[in-house]
Amino acid sequence: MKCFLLFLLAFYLMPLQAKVETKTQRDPVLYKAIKNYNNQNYFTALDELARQYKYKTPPKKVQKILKMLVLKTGTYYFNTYNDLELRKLKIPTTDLIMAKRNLYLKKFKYVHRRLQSIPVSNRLFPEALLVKATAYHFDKQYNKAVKVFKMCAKEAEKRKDVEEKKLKNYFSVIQESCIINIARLYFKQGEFEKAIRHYEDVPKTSIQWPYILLEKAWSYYYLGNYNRSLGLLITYRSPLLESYFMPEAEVLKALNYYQLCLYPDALSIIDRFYKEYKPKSEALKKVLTSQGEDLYFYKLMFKPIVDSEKEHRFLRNLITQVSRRVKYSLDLKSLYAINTEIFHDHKDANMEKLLSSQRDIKEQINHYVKVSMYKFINETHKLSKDMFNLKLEVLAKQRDLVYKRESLQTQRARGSDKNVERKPYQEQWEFNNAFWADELGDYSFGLESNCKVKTQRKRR
Amino acid sequence: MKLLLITLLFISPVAFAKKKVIYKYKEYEKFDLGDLEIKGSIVAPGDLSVKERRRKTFERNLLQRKSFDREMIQDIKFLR
Repeated sequence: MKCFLLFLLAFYLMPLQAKVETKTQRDPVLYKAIKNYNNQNYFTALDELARQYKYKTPPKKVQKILKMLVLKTGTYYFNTYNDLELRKLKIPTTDLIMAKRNLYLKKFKYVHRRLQSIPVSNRLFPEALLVKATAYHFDKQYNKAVKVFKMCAKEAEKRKDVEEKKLKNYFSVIQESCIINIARLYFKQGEFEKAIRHYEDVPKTSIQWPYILLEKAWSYYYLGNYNRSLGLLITYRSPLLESYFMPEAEVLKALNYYQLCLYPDALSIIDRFYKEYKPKSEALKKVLTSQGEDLYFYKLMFKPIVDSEKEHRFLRNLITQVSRRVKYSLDLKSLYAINTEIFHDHKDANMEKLLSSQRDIKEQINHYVKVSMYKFINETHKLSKDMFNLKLEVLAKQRDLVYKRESLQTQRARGSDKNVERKPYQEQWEFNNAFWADELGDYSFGLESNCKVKTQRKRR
Repeated sequence: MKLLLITLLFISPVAFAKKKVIYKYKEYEKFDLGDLEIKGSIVAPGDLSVKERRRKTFERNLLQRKSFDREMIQDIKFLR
């Protein structure tokens, strides 16, 4: 009887076993990937699938799983793939990476072709719109660019209501980038009023806001409103924006004084640049080039503030700036996800691949931080040349005045309300030696132009 | 008629032959420059004057910002 029952059970279970076997045999990689996904071995699953479909288009089912995996791992995995490898995968992530690469190469036709396949429902859709509009901008199709930038801002705003803070930040950055890019487009076309109006749509709480102050100041400079431009630039002196120091802001400040014919003020800004910024940037260069330690820049990001400040004050500020960038946050998120998988130590996890991925992403962060820091040094070096030219120009103007026996009006007040140009929506408050967070970016100087020339009597 | 033709045949080389011209230049000629007279009126001012030239000023290349294209690309690169 027992024997009969066992035989019966085996007879019933046989088709089920066969079904499982056929499934595994039909697509063993997919089956393994699903299993790894369920066991939270996301990086292992992604690596296996991506390697399998490197040169062939995966079926829809696999594409769907790849999309799910990328949500967990981030897109960094495909950064090292070449175009040929990426082309076949046909998932939104790889299409976006390829579109970006084509944008950098100015192959706009291929940018649009790659972005066509990204559906509206996809999380990457707003970013795809940002790339698409930027391509239109560089292709000089400005009307189309404005339209797509507006669409991008709208789509990003719709997606901002998510719980995860980092994702929320990501969509906020996309939305603001699209608004800022409309302003930049108008700036390029010389429509500075329109540009300013769009810059003002970016909230002061945005992480991009400190950077656009400079761009807004340039717009006011070209409009000839030097007082407002100087007022915007003085915002960088507030304690809240201490870490956002931009050498270009100093050059623009000196240029504004130069245009107002306030030559001593321009010279004092130039001298301060040479006394403060240049030596500090050179000292920073020394600190950075003397480091031979492996992954020095990556490790720098995790050093206690007290230690990094000891090395160089600028270093601390630069670290703060870099750490607020979206790329850094996303890379860090991927690194933490890898670390979690390593510590999880599942029997099916490809530990060798995980450790190499961990090293890889650390190197990517290291490179990104290094590039950001050297960019600052190079910019300071380049701008010191511009400052030198400006200094020569100021000195030449002063010399000409002496030669022509002329002088500028010196008996003037340092500032007055009547010199402040105001729009109906701009309020006016007095400055009482204190910066208030809500008034940052709304300052204006009240300096009178000193360009009126007083001719001196000829000596007999 | 015949006679006319024969006469023409004999006369034509004599009639069309180039006359040899011999040019002969003066062997010596004297010019008295002091004696030469030029007709016209003097237009230059009597006293010395120099017109002041406008001094050429070379403008240095001051920093200008024509676009923020570099920042646009950088923003995309900084996203991921």
